Amino acid sequence: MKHDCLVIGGGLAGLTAGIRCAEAGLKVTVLSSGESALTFSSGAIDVLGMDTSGMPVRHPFQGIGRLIVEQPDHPYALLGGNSVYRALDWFQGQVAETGLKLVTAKILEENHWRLTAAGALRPAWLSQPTAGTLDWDFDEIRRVVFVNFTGFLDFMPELASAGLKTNKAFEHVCVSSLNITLPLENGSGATADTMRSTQLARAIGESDIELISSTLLEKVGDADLVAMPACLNVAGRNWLEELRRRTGLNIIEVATLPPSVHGIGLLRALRSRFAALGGFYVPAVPVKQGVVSNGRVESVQTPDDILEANHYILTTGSYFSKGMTSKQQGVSEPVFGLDMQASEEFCDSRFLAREGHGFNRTGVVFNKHLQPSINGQSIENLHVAGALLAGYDPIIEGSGGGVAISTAWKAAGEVIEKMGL
Amino acid sequence: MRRLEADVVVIGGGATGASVFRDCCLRGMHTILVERGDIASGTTGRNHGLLHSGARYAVTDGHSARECIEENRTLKKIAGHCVEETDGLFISLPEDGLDFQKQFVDGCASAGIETQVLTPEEAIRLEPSVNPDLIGAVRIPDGTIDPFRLTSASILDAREHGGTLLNYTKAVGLIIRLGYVQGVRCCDMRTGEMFEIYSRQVINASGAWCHEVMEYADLSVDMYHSRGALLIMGYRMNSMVINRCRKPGDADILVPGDTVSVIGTTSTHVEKDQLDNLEVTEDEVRVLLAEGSKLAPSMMDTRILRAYCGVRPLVSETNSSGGRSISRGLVAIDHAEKDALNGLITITGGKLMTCRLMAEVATDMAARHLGVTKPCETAKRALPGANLPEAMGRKTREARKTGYSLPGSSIPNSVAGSAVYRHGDRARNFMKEDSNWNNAVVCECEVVTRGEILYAIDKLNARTLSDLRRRTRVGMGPCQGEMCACRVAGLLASSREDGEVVLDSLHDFVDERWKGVRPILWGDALREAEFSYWVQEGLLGLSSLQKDEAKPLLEIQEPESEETQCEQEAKQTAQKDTHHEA
Repeated sequence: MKHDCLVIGGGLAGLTAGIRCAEAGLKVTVLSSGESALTFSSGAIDVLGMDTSGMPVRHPFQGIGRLIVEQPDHPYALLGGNSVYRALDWFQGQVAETGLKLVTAKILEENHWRLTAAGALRPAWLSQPTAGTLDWDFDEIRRVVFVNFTGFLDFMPELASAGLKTNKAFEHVCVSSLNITLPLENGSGATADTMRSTQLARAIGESDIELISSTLLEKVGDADLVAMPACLNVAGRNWLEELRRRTGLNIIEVATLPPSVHGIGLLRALRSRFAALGGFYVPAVPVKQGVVSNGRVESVQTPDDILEANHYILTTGSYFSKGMTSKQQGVSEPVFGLDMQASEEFCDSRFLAREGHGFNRTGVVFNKHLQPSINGQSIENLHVAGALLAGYDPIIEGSGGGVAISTAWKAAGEVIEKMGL
Repeated sequence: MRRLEADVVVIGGGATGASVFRDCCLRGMHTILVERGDIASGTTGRNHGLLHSGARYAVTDGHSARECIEENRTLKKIAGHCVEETDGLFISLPEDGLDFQKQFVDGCASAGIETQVLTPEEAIRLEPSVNPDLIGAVRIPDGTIDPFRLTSASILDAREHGGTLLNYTKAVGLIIRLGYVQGVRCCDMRTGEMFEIYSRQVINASGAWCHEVMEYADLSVDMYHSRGALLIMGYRMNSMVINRCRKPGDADILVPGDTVSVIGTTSTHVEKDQLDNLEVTEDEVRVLLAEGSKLAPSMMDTRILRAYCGVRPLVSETNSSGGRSISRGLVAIDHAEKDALNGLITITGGKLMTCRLMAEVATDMAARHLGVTKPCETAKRALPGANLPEAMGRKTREARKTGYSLPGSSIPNSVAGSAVYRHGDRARNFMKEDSNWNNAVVCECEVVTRGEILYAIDKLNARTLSDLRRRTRVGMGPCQGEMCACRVAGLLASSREDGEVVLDSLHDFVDERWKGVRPILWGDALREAEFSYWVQEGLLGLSSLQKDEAKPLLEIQEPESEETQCEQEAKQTAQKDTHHEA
């Protein structure tokens, strides 16, 4: 079988590219080798959260305009704020087709805050409906309660309370924590202290919800914001909405330590959308090597097969996903041996440095069509997108989701255009 | 100013200080130990964790060799839960020849160290990871010892016999009147509070830093600070200690310990003003890998977990040429005799293996001055946790396979066994059936439970995440505290009032882990670091919760006050927890 387009990598960027190709009517396959980074994420999508001076960005698409003037090699510079907005808008619509209605801030073109399990606030563009969106100004919040289920280790309400209190905007806000011991109706006798978020999500049943809502009404009835571990909306049972209805409280889900129920939910939605459009998703198949001649990819090899396509999109991610490998001598791209751009300073002396780390900005060099090169020669039928790309820092900028989606959207657009569709 | 009183003040909470503390308390002296950081945070926490047989010194330093083998046997007896009786090999490679082996076996014999000469085939059968090119091997009774556990157990014993531990307390001066040291001026490094402890004897057991305490009395000692770098491999590659059978050199000992293996060391001189700023260099990493893989070739394909270095407190003899030629013998100075300064004793030099012996010598001196006649019991009396009934497991090479357990408990051996492995029979103090969630596993790599964390906070003076790491091994495994650091911070926050202190301690912990990873940031170490970064910064946003960082949402207003020098120093210490031990 010859593919119109073969996407190597089944994470956020790969599935986004696959969906756009499939939507345009291409015969497209996505090869995935392992877990997507979405599995460990918050499940929210950020576009641009921090500017180059480390200040939070309220209007991300305007912020992109300023960013690319300062950093012309940034992947966003290929698209500009308007195209990034179009890509994100399209993405939101594609996900909505599966029934998952990601939400933006109430005010047009504004970021909202995402509350973390350590009590920090990170700007985000799209969040899952049960995670809610915290407005940019917190004027109306007077009491916040972090609620955990006794024994569950991957949500830290006391730490989160301390973290939130370090924020000056919450100086006069009452922040506290509450633990509720649940019977775990569907837990088959297992207790919360042995569970990760995904197991806890499956273990919660009607009697647990009853206990949570009565406890909330009794103990924190006057709270303006109640934050709970994200394990209350899974497999078609939206317990969180139910709790909101029963208590009338403003309850939000906060991402737990991995695995991420919301991230997995988003990944499932993307796979399901891709399949609905006729795309072919192949899990657990790593691509070992690509064959390139005369500036074109001829084929790629998996452990059992040689696959051919007219076009290839590479979205294999960074180090953790093995899209890039590193040795003592340096960093390389293992499938094609693409040209890399390494940051001068590979890492900072502090792990949580404001400036971020050079290894995050290290990646594959690309031209304005997102084509990479080998020894300076561009590869005509290969496009790259997502965390592989050089020249940006997904974490410090808070741009990981936006760059993955928008560059994948553009890479697919390039392929569609070449196919004459 | 607050004023405390004691018979003896011990300065330094490393293995030696802890042993002195224990010895003094067991002899009935009312003793306070002051340590500027946490226990075992200096040289004690930054070495191989090797239970020397003494064989290494058999050819070059017979006296040290004899001391080692004697203490080796003693520690196996009194600190069973801190020791693994792995045995060791001294291998000869083609480039070494077999000449040295002859001298080596003779040297061992005269030091009283039992040896068994093996053929290469026999050695490979015993230790499959050993370099198959070896031309000969000698089996000797090396083992491994967990220095954190040894120190913690000694301190626990001392405290149970009336001693007081003041960690995060720096000795900033000696109280000297009329040629008599009457006590120690101290600073609480957390609060900046100054206070005094009046005593009849001060024992300076501050190891590589002992010259600083001596300077308080205008005394000096000719220290040779020798720095040694080591690498921790991500897996337990070998089950026996592997040494090179030649004169001691770089990277010629590979020690298995808990879940990892450690290769080391190098030996280079370090200036005394650099003792708190040690970082492993690229060259050291290269040497350690190149030489280490000659002991076990699989090292080249094994993930490196982290790099660290420590500093040996060697005392120069005249005209000595360098680190490896200086004796590892202990140096005990009774300043009453040597310098006509009563009330001060310095114990330094030596090595981890001889910490108990060093303590005995120093405590004997103090006891004589104080008229205490009760003899030393530390060589006979088991440390807390070491009374391991047969049924709980024994740390011999053979028994390791069957593991440890808590008899009569329904808790799985994978969990209970880890607790017994670390705390011996004291594991019963926190590992119970009606657990109140306490048997939940917080750190998967090292199988540390919630109960063990709370026990260390409650009973073992752990105040920060790094303290908890030294007490329980939390965050020491392959993931280096990716998620367990946050879980433990959550537990710490729920068990003490000041959440901000916990957040600071989380940042210190993360930076301290990072310090060991940076020199080896490639391959799986980089993958793991990237994942940690996603979780800790991407998911949790920890950097915005740092003190002394520009917080975008927070305008910092520094209170205007005049700080004492000590307060400033306390702050600096809190800011840069420079320790990066195993």
